Amino acid sequence: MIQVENLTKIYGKGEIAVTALNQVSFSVREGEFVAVMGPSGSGKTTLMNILGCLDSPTSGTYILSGTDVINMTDKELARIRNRKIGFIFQTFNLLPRLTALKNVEQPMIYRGIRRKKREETARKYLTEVGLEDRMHHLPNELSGGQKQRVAIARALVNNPDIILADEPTGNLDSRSEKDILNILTDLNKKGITIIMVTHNEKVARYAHRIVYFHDGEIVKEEIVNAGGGSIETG
Amino acid sequence: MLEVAVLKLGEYISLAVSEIYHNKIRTFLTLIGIIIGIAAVIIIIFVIQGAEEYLFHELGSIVPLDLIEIYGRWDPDTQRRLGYISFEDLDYLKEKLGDQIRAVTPVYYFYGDLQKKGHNYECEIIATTEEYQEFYYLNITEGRFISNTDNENFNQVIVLGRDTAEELFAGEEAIGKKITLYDTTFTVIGILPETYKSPIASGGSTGDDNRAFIPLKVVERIFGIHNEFYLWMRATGTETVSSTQQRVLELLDERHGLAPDGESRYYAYNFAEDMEMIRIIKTVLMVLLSGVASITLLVAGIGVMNIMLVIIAERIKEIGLRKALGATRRDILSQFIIESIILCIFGGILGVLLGYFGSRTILSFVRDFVRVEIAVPFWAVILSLGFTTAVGLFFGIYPAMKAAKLDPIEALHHQ
Repeated sequence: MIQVENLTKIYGKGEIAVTALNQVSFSVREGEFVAVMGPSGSGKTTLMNILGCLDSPTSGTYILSGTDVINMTDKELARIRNRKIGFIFQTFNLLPRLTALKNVEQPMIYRGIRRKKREETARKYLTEVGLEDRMHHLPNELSGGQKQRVAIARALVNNPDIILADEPTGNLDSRSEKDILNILTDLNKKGITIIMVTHNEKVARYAHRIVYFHDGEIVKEEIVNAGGGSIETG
Repeated sequence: MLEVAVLKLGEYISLAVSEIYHNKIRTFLTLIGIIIGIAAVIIIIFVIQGAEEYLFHELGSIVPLDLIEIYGRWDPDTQRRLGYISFEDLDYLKEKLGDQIRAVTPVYYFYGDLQKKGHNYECEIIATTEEYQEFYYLNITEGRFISNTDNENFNQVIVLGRDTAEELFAGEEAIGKKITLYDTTFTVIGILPETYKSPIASGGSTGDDNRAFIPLKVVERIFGIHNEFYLWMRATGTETVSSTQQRVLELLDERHGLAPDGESRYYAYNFAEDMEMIRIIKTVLMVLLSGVASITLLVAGIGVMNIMLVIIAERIKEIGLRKALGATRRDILSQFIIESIILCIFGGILGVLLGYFGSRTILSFVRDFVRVEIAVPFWAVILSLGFTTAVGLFFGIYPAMKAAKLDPIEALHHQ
C-alpha cells in the first residue's frame, strides 16, 4: 500500500538547514493499522505530511498504491488527497460556519458530486459514526468527541484507501478517546489502512504496529497486536 | 467538466453568501464606497435621461418634432428671396413625395391690427389652411377652424386665439361677429381654447394665445402677397426627417433650378437634427459624469481588495484544510474570486436600490414641473451590476492568488 524508501527532508539551506527526516525507509501493508510515536521534532509530522501528499521530500521515493507520487503536479496531488487519503486532525479542523452535514460534504464538492448525492452520502457516514441526530448542528454546538466523529465521517466520504490521523485523540477526554479509537479500529477491520501519530503509548496500543521516531530516523518498530482489532485497556 | 464547474460555482456562491451574512457590519462598511458609487451612477443617468425626455416632451408640445420648414432663401444683396413656393409647387411636392410625408401646409405669418368699433388690437396673424391642424392639435371647442372650402371660396373668416378674443370681445359672444383687418371685414368662426404654456419656451407658435388664423388664399387675393409662404411638412418620423428634407430640396431644385451662386434657392430647417445634437451632448455628459463616478468605484475596489486580504488571512486554516481535502489551487482561486465578486455584486445591488430610491426622491421634488413619466432605465441597472462584477473580479484576483499559493502545511498549522 505505502512504500517509502530513503526519504529525506531538509528544511532551509546551508548552515541553518535542519534535517527533519534522514533516509527513512518504511512500508505499510494494505489493511494495516500503524501508530507512529516519537517526541516533538522527531520527524513524525513531516513524515505524515509527505505521506498525505501535502509536502514533498528533498530526496527518496514514495509509492502509494503502486503509483509514484514524487513527481506529481499540484493538481494530481490534490486528486490523490481527495480520493485516496482521509485526514483526521488533532484540532478537528471543521469549518465553523457549516453544519456537520455540510462539513462532511466538502471533500465531495472537489470530486464534483451532485448536491443530492453528496447529502445522501454525508448522511450515511454521519449515521455510521453515530451522529444521525446532530447533522444540522454547527461545530460549536458539538462536543469534542462529536466534532472528531464529524471529521472521521468527512475523511471517509470519498472512500479513501488510507486514513492519516494526526493525534486524533489529543484534545479529547478519555471517554471520547475510547469512542474515537473504537471507531478507527472498526474502520480498520473493514479494510481501511490507518496511520496514526500519537504521543500516548496507551493510544498507540490500539494499532498492529508501533513505529518509534527519533531525530528524523526510525529507531524502533514493535508489533503489538498482529491480529488487529481493539484491545481492552485500563 | 462544465457540470462540475457549475456545481462548484453554486457551492462557492453559497459559501460567499454565508460569509457576507456572518459579517454584516464589516461587509456593509467595506461596500459603502461601491454603494455610493453605483447610486451616483444611477442617479446621474436618471437625471440626464429624465432631463432629455422632459426636454423632448416639451419640445414636442411646442412643435411637432418631425417638422420640416421650407422657404425661399433670402438674398441680402437684392433684399429679395431667391426662390418662391406656389400652391402648384405644393401640389407637385405632395404628389411626388406621396407616403414620405404625413402632412403639408403653407403658412404665412405677420403682425396686423384687428379692429372692432374703433378698438385697435395688434396680434400675430397666421394665414394657413385646414391642414394646419395636422401640425397642432388645436382642440377647438367654440365654433370651427378654417376649412378648405374657406380657402377655395376666399371666405373672409377668422379664428381667434383665447387672449385676442378676450381683448376684443371681453366676454361677449364673438362667433358670428365681424372685425376688420386692414379695412377688410372678417367674420369670427371660431375661438381657440387656452393653450399649454411650456416652462421651457416663451412665445412661438403655440403657448401663445394672442393670435388669429385666416385662410391663406384670402391673404394672397386681398393683400396681394403671392407665394411668400413657408411650407410646413411632417416626415413619417424623426428618423426620416433628414432624408425627406433632402428629397424636398432636390425636387424644388429640379423644378426651379439653382440660384446664381450654384446653391439651392431654398432653405430648409428641422428640429430633428437639433434633437440629434442634444442627444449627442446628453451622451457625452452621461459618459463623462458616470466616468467620474466610476473612479469612486475603482477606489472602492481597493477597499474590497483590502478586505479580501483580511478575509484570507483570517481563513488561512480553512484554506489549508480545503487543500488537504482535495482542493486544487484553481479551486481555492475560484472560491475567493467568487467571494469577491459576490461581495461587490451585493454592494452593487444595494447601490442600485439606493440610486433608485434617490431618483424617486428627486422625482417627487420635481413632480410639479415634470409632466413625463421618468424611470431608472433597465440598462443602467445591468450596466451597474456588470461594472461591480468587473470590480470584484479585478480586485479579487490578487488576494485569491495569494490564497491559492499558500502552502497547505503552513496554512493548516497556522494558529
